[in-house]
Amino acid sequence: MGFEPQMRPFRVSKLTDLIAEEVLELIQLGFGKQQGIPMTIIEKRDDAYVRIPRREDFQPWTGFCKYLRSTAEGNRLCVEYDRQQAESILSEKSESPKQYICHAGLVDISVPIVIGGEVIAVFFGGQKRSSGSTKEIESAVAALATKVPGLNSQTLLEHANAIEELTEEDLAAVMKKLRTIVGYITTLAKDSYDTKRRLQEELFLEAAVSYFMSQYGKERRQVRQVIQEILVGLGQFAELSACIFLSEQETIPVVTAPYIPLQVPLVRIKSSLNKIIPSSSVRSGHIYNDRIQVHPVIGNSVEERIFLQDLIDVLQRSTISRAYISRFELLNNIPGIFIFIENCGQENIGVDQQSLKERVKFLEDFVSRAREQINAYLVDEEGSDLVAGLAHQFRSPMSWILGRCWALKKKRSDAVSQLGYVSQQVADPKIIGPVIKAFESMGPIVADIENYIEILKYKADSLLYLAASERGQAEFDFRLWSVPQILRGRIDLFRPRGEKYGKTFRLQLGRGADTKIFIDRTQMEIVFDNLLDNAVKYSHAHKEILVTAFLDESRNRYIVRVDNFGLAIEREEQELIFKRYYRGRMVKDVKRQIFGSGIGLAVALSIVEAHGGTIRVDSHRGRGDSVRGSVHGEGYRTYFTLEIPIKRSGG
Amino acid sequence: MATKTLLFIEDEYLEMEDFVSALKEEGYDVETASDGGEAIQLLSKKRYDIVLLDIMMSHGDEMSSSIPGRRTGIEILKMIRTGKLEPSIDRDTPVVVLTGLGNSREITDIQKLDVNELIQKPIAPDRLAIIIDDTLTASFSRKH
Repeated sequence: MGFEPQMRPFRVSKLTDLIAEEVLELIQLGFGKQQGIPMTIIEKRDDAYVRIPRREDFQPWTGFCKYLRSTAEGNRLCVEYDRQQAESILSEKSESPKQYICHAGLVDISVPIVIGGEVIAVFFGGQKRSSGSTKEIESAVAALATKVPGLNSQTLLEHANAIEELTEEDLAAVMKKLRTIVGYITTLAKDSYDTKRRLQEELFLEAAVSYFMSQYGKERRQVRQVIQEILVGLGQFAELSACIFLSEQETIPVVTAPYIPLQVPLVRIKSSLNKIIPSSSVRSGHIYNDRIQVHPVIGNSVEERIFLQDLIDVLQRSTISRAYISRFELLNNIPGIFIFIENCGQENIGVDQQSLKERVKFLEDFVSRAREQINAYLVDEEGSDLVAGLAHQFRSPMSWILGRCWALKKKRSDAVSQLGYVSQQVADPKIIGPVIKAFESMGPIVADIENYIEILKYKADSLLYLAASERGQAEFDFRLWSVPQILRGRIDLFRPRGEKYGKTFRLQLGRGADTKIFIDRTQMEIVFDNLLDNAVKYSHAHKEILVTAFLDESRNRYIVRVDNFGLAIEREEQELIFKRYYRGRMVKDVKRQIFGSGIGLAVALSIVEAHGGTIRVDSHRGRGDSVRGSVHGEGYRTYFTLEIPIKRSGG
Repeated sequence: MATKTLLFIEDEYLEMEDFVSALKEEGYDVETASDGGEAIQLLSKKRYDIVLLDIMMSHGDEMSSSIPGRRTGIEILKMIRTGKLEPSIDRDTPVVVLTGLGNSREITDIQKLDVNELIQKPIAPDRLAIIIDDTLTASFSRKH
């Protein structure tokens, strides 16, 4: 499916597309009273001409107009007159203010409201008498009296006489006031117009880039087709008739408004084009059909001159009246030259050079912004590839190490067997014995390496989670899992390291601990590993690390607590330690260096929060229990408490 | 019992070595391919009882992938499952995937590709051999 812009370029057909009718009413009411000038706005909605304000109590008529409009026929004549005036101005697209005498003999002024080069409404004001207009008014009143049943010409004349007579200078001042008010309305409307148009452009840009990226990765030919489709859509925004995307391959048809395909044979200029495209500079210029001119900026190289001459020849044979050539590269590996052609096959509609320049500038800006956005997407794609690549880079070497450990264990086992045989047959047990012991001692060393590889895996996972979440790519797969089962596995991982320093683990399962909960197992293992690793690192030797799990039914939360005795986390640091790269003061103060990156708890918090949960730490001075008899030590009890809300369904 | 044949598709030679040894010790007749092209050639000529595949393997020649070097293990898997390599390889041939990826969604995406078993690295060779054995047994049981 081709690119179908979801929205058409923002076009304005009436003023209330930009400013709410209520606001216009208030403006007129306010200015009208302040200036003493009745005023009204007429715009076209579909086929009808609508007056603003429409509310009767907002109508600012003079006594004269009120009386005339109080009769059915009088009102009809006035409405019809106003409509004709508005129709005339809107259809002629006349942008000039006018002063005229209405059908009732009063002076009215019309000021067109122009937005985006279009007259979208007409502002009327006045209902004044010019000095020396008595005869005209009497004549108009007499004529009206014959047409409008129930109209008393005397009464109407009395109302007319009550209207102030204005000199030419006075009327010029009224005109100026009205133009000022229209200027104010136009400024408001233009702001709204610019905002809405920009929004449309941004939406179009997003749609175009999304469409492009959805096709990216396919063959170049297809991608070029995509770019062409986008440019055709873009042509509507820039109100240019056609866009050509030239490739060094076959002819690309030119699509014009009203979408009459016009084949432009470019085979002949292919070789010239091939020479130009590798160049990195941008060239631009104008070509006019009646007087072919080449802007001095382009055609600097021989190749470009040849290309342009060929192109001119081609364009002259068509009915293109104006063209603008500009060279862009949307992506570095998809070069091309864009030619924007106006009024293909049509007569010159009077678009001036400035207007054309503005439209082309718009297209150039669009391409530039599209390029930036596409590059941003590509960087993101590369970024996600980077994260995946990093994962692979971490885990593959770890696999290799485990493989080597396995090979070492095998060789050790083989060596021990051989030595055992040898010792039985010939050797002095006093010599062979230590050799066998030496080989046997390799076993625990290899086991240590294997254990540490497993621990490194969670550290790598923490980093990878961090990288992914920074790119907004951290994703979760929530399923029902048994937390105690996971905890047992993770405790088994850290147990060997803990036992080297006499630190033991105890898992205590409270009420409801076996309740399965919706979690992302892989990510939650990272959380548990971080807490357990911290407990091993920062607890004192020969102390117990207690892991508790239970269900708090009253609050519908699953609680996991990791409790150890050792280094303190001071109160003022208890929130800070969850921040990236922060390490507690006590950790940094101890004589023995405890290595850490300061990201583990930040990652743990992020994962737990993604589950809708919380994690907090408490640390207070206490007396620790030791597994070695009655020896009690001084230190701090530190508890990390994890709370996860119970989800009743997945996700 | 007939020797089971296994094709191990992995581009990191160093990683392969110990795993191949472990699998041979378990009684497998192991052949290896270090890129997608080689893998396709071997799969087209011979029937294997089980395929072990690194999903992040890069390809060694121009294949259909539009983003070279990434995840052509997936393409091989798809070729097996869509029967493009029949009759030499049955589309139901058990496939065990090795991956270094860690993101839960990526794991889920791979699982959707109709793999018999997904193993996340790192893994010890003897453990891998056990999983291969279990997978083959399960696949055989399903068939019969």
